[in-house]
Amino acid sequence: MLWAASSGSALSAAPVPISPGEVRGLTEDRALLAGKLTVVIFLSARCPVSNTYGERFQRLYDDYQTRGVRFFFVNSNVNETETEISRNAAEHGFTFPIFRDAGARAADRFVAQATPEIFLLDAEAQVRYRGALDDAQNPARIHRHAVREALDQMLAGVPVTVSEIKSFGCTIKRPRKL
Amino acid sequence: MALWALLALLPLHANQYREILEANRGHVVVVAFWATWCEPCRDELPRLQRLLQRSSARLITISADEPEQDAAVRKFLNKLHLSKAAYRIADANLIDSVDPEWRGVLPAIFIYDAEGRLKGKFFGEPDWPVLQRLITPLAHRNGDRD
Repeated sequence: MLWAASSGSALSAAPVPISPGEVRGLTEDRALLAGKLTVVIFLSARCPVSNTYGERFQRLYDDYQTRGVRFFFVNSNVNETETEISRNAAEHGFTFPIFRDAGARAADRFVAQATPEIFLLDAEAQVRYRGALDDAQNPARIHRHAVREALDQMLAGVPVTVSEIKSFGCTIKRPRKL
Repeated sequence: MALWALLALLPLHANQYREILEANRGHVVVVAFWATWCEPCRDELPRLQRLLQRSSARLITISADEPEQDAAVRKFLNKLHLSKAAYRIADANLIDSVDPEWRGVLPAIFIYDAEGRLKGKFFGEPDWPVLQRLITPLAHRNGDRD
């Protein structure tokens, strides 16, 4: 499996292979992600906020993956096991693979702090949006579908008008540095 | 009706944060952002409370829960007798008005001196010895104007 060449691994019932170059784009040189619009989503199996967004993540993936957008779902939490992550993915019915960022190298590279936290990169691998998927945990109170708006603008080749929406979430549990 | 249900949990908008700090001028203020869904937050609040015991510092709790969780928030705070200065965020723009560096991770703690100057901030589970070293001399200093 190609992705096994990196420090991470992809988890799901039917993992989609991720090329080593793409993985290095997450953990080392972001420029390697150039060439396609890319969505990087840091998520967690334990964080209640992240789990609240499970269905919305799947819908986002279903709607935009078919439009040529590349997705990386990343779990960087040192306190979550691969079994737990797999079980959680199955419970949500995720059809996308989850990249296991065991050493939180991808989180460090993106300076990601929270779950969920989303980064949108343009075809030059420049970050055009960072933050929450939308502006409310409760779907009934959403006013801005920020990530969808930004993706639509990027796909249309126009500037992204809202580059960040902050929201509350859980801390990414990084390994302790000795 | 249970007594905790009567606890005032005030919705807090972005422009009101500074007003709260102003209203507490003259006291060391520790602001703890938390949520009922945040396990480290639930562990942290009683610990903060113990740390501030016998000091004149004021602990202000601000919940990031959704309004539907108000009852759970009230119940938790009441159990800790932390019902004096309790707020619920009404507006996610508050994150930026508190600190542009803060991305909204919980728990988050902000410490202000008696003049309202930010003296420390902790995002995520705090390093308790560091937090204690910062708070103790501030909160036990006689400079607080009671």
